[in-house]
Amino acid sequence: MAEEKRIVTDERRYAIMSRESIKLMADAAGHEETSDSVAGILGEDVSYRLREITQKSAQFMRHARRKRMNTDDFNKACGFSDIQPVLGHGSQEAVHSFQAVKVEQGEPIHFALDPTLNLATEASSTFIPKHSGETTIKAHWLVVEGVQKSTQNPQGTPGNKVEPGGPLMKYFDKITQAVLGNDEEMMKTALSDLRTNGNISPLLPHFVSFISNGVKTLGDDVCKLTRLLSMVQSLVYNSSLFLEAQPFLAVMSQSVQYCLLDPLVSSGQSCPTDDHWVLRDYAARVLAHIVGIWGNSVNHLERYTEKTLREALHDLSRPFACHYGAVMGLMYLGTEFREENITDATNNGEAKKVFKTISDYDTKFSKRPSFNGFLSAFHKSPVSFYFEMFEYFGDALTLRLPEIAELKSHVFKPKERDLVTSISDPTADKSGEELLKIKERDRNEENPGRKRKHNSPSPDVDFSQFLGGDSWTVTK
Amino acid sequence: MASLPQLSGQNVQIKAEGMTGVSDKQTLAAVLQFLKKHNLKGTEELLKKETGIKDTDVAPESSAQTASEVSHALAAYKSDDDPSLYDEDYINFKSFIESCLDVHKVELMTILYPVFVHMYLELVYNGHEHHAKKFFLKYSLDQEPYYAEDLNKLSTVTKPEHMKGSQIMENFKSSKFVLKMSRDSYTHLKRFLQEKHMNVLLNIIQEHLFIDVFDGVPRTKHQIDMTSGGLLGEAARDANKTKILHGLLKEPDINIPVDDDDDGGGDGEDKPKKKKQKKDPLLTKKSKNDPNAPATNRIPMPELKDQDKLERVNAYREALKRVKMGPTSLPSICFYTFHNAIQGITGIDISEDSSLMCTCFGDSNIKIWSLTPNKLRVMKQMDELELIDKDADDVLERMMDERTAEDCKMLTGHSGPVFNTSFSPDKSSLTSCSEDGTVRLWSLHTWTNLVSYKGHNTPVWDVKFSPHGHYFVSGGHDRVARLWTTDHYQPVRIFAGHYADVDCVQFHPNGNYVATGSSDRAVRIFDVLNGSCVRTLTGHKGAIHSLCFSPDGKYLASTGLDATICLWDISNGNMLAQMREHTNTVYSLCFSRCGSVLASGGLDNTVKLWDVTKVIKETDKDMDASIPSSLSVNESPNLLIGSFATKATPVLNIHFTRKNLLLAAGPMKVS
Repeated sequence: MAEEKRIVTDERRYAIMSRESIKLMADAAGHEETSDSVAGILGEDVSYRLREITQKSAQFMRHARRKRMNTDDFNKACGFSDIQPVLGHGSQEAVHSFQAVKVEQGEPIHFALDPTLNLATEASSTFIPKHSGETTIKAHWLVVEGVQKSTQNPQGTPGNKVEPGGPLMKYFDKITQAVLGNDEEMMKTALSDLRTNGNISPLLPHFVSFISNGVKTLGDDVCKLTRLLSMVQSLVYNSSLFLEAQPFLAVMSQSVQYCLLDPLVSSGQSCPTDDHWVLRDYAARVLAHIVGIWGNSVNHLERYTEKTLREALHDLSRPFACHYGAVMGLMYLGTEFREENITDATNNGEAKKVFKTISDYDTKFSKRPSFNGFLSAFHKSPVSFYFEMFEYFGDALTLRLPEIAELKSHVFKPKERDLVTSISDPTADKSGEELLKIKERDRNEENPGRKRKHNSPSPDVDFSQFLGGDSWTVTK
Repeated sequence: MASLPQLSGQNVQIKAEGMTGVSDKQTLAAVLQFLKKHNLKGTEELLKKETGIKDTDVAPESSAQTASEVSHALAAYKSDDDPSLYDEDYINFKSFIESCLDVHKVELMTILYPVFVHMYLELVYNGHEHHAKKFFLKYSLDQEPYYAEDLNKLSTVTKPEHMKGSQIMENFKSSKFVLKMSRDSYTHLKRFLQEKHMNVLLNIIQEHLFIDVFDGVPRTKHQIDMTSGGLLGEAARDANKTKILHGLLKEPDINIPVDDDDDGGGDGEDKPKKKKQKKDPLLTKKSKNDPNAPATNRIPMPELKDQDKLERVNAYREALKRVKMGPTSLPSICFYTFHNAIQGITGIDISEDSSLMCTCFGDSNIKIWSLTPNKLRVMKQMDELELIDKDADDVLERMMDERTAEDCKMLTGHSGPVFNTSFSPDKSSLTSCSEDGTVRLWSLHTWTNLVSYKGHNTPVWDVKFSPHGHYFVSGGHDRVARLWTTDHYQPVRIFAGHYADVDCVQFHPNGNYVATGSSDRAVRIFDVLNGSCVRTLTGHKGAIHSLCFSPDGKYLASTGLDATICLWDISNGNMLAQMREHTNTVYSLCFSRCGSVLASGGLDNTVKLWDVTKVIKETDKDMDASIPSSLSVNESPNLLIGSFATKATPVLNIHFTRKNLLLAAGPMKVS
């Protein structure tokens, strides 16, 4: 049976020229009336010739030591059968110039797109094809005395060495600068490139150490921590990177856990759009991604992460925010963790409270029993309202602020960010590493006074009125 | 040196060239016909008058030529039988086979395929398209899966017009399909054919089949499958009867200096006393008179130059430092990866001394790379050469122009993809073969093209220099292999016999034989002396792309599209082992210099190592090679002693250095 199928599929694998196709072609060539019988005979013959040529082209493919046949092979075979080659399809990216048009009856018609080019615009276009470079040869040891050193990365591309001033290092500087810089577009481009670039594996250790240093240095800048998390996510998504090699995976998940659990992060309400609850949510998601993609039975990533989160949850000395992070992390890791840990944590008053708060809060606001009351209270005095609410919900309040659509417009109006052009920006020419250094220096200088300086013009809403007595100022 | 003796015409079978032996008169008649056809009366009259040819001379010629070539050649297929007869006969025959005892059944089953093919072709030839298609669909599933490729080709042929010019068709009509069968099974068959008078079947078996009957127990299905798979069946036993002189040539007497001194071994004349102290085991073995070795002058070989002698001394010295190979001591592999080879690398070759690497490209260029710190240099111009002191010791060094030193040189000349190259043993020249139908000889002193050998006129797939230089052999789409010399622009031998393209060629280490691998799934060994085919080895199930002789000349390894490596005993043509671990086409094979390990590499991005010593140890020496059913093929999975994957690089060439370091090369695939 299997063999019967084989022959049937073989039949389908070849092109069959229908009478209609032959008639169409004859019409295009100027022969208006083609009889059915002639078209039929021609069609069968053309189908046969096509198969014959295809079989012959396979020989050319095999001798070019390739697995895939290309148009050159076909044309060579044509040449030896005294048939004119089919020109104009030699490009290696010809595939997407094919289009299909649906017709009323039967199969859609496929044809090669052949647009008329405007030579003037082509000539003046700024697109310059990339030179692929000279063929080079590189020797390396595949096996030493019968032992293969590493199957994972036995060879690199030339120019692959990470040297100071080399192309890869320049790339690293640009990327880190864009991620921490102020240009939103640049950041997006950088992140998407990190996600797709297949040649950055030599830079992986640099990126990992940049992130791990970054989270520690930027410990209280929620906005930038979010960006670092996006960077982690991009690296995790990049299919060409092999993160499992130690210590990359461990360091990276530690960095994310830091964002998730560290109490330092909770202190900043400097920038309302980037509140730390959102950051913790995000961190929990990224952590779950990392565990989902790279965790396996060998590295026990899942177990270790869970263990850390549980410890955080059970540690009563830690603040709310930390417990919140732990709960979120466990939630994203999967429900079975949540159930298990939450029941464990019922003895733990505070953690319970955090979780209760979250769930209660959800029910409360979805039902909105006394929403108007809230609103009027808010209108009377926003500050006292805030404090009142803070009494109830603590830090968890901030998380829900954006959801209260009606309140949102009254509570804060983030100023539109100015688009900062890189020319005037003093940080524009600094690499990410340098930015980190400056930041660190600033922190060290200003830590006693808890006065912070932003390198970036974060929306300068003075939130201090909500915070009362604290002497925080946000300066540009 | 003496040149290779000229052969009389009948010894060399030239199938590809139909034009030989056309008499003058015929040519003139053809010209006259041409003139007539184009209505050039004046010229025609004039020519007739001058040559004295009358109209009557031309006329019969023309009528003979108008007869269709196909109908003439395929007349054997002409039959007025009822198309439904074929169906009936096939079914009857099949049910007879199935009613036989199992021992005979498996042997008789092998006849089904050729009978099926010929019945189908007869149906097509006689215009019963509908019947033919039905017949094919119904019975093609009876056939062995390894005939799928041919069945595929056959299935496309459904009209008599298509039969013309189809290669596979010509093979089936002009040659007999060879089968091996035990006498008992054959008697069964004969009785059946005599009882039932099935004309169609009888006719096919008589006309198109050759049944080689042997005395002994019938073969098992497994044994049959081992050696079948060829385009036209197995090799008849008579085809492998000729004795092959597979021993190595007697080494010329070169005084080997003692190897304590590190310098290049400039002084060939050393003290004889010292020589005796260190009698080397390698050379003494070779210089013993091997009864299987051909006489040194059987094939005229070029005389050794001083430079060649030096090279041999070097080779000997390096061989002393050779690492022993075996399952417990595997080689180190140095991999050469090519980057940015967007034009497509079609072949890689490494010189015998592992100092040069040559890559051929799809864009018709050839690049030579130096694998040692020695750069590639061009010879000086004539006027500068004259100034050199010719008696100086380093005259060869002085000849070279230091200003032109480079790591890589490019040779341009072909007008189509270059499929393979081969270095001459003295590294002074290189041959290349290409899709443009030519073989070219290049000088590696001047880095220019010396000769373009035209003969194949169709793509030339492979070329190999003789291990002793001077000769080289090429094989191509025209189904023949040609032997060339560096001093003649015409082939000195044509090796014919394959039914399809000759995909690869290889010289025997003693230079007296040439092995060819073909798309007809057979390996043949030809004698250089008289051009005759002395071995036909069948068993592969796909086109053969690589061949390698063991260093002692006793064994031949072959592989190709079916990803199976076969090891053959040349002395009797028996298959010793089949190694099946590769998952895609294997393009390169190499024996270690000691012959104990075979390395292979191919499109599945792995280098694999095989234990040859084990195969030879486990071979039954006492078995009778003339009885096919007594053969056993070693298929043990334990033969694989190492498998090493690259990241994304197909292995196009593999090469053991003199010290048994394994070099492998391939282009990095960009996805």
